[in-house]
Amino acid sequence: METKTFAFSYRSCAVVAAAFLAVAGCATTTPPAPAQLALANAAVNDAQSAGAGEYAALELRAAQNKLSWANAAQVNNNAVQATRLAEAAEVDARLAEAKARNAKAQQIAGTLQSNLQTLQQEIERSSSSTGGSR
Amino acid sequence: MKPSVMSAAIAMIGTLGACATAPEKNASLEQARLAVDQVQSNAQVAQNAPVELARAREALREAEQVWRNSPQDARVDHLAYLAERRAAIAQEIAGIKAAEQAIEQASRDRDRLLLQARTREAEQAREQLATSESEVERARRATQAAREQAHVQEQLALSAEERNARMQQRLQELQAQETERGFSVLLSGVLFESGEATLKAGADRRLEQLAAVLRENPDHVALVEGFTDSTGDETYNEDLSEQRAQAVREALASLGVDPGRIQVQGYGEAFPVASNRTPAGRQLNRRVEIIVASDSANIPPRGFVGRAGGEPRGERGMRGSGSGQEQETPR
Repeated sequence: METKTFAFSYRSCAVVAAAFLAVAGCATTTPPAPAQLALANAAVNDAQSAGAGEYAALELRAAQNKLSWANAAQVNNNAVQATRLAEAAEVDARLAEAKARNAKAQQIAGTLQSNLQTLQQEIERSSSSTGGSR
Repeated sequence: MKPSVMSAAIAMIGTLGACATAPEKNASLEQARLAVDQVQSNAQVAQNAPVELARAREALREAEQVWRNSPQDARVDHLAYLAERRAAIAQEIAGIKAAEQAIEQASRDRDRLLLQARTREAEQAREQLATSESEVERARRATQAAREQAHVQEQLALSAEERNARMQQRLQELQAQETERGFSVLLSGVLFESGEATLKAGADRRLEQLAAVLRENPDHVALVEGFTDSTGDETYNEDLSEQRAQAVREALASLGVDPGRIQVQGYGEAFPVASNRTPAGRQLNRRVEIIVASDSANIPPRGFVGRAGGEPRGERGMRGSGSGQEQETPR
């Protein structure tokens, strides 16, 4: 998307949002930037712990980039941009985390399944060898 | 051209276009719609990740709403992006749940298999134990039977000794003589009238005793030898003597002795034991001798050297002379 157009509409929205915040002083559809940044941060940490670096590297990198951009925007007092970037970072991180956990769980399930098959074969082999030759 | 004019022109064209065609499409929103649609229709996602699915649908709704109100709003792209990502998350979460269920199931299956295997092992061990137990039992019974048999044999041997002792005693009572062919029991001539082959009553007691000996020792064979005095024809006397022997055999048979083991032989005038010139002597010569063998081999008749077994009837051997042959010539 065009950064210019984005910046243009965002500015007007930011003014409106700020006005709303000032007037309403309660929850809006857009969470305040620091809260959202915290959420995004937590999500990225969770994704890393889940092993997204190995299993969902692309999504994790996207999340980390957007988070750092969000922080930069926040520093530049671009609250709306910071929030949006932080929101995107959060979903990217959550997706990375989910992908990593899924990949690991599938691996374990696969290993257990093949172990099960081996066990079954072993049992059949041993039972046939002892049961038949009496 | 200034950007604001540009965008205004575009907006106008867009509005004009709206009358004739569908509203301007948003690529991100299309993508989001597709993604949410896919996970929505996936039964596994609906079952395993309902919360995440709901969030994805909600995100899409939000995006749609903003887009309807102001299609050019930059938020549309952002919200559409979030919706699409949320749909992807829902898919992954569903996958995790499915994998976790598979892991649980595998664990249960493993336990079940192991239990089956252990049960089967226990069964087989039980069967083997039962088999080996029955084998042991069979072996035990076999040895027991063998032992019992040996015991019986022992008993038989013992009673054989006993029987032997008893036999000796009886034979002694019968005044049996030990010869090379066995024990010889004499039934004296007083038991037969001259020229007769009928046993007189006096033989009863001795025959009973003899029968007892033969019954108690079934594996011993007997030979009944008949003799006559010299009165009358030789051939006649041979027949007579044989008849006397037969008479004894029949008497023994009636006393329970198997006649099959009693051989019969008539010697006629041969082998007298006393002088035929006196009535007393002749009486003595009219006799039957019963040989009880020491085993089950056929008793060889007198005077036939080297012949054993078979019908002890053959050519006439030595004839008794007038002087009286008192020596027996066995074999």
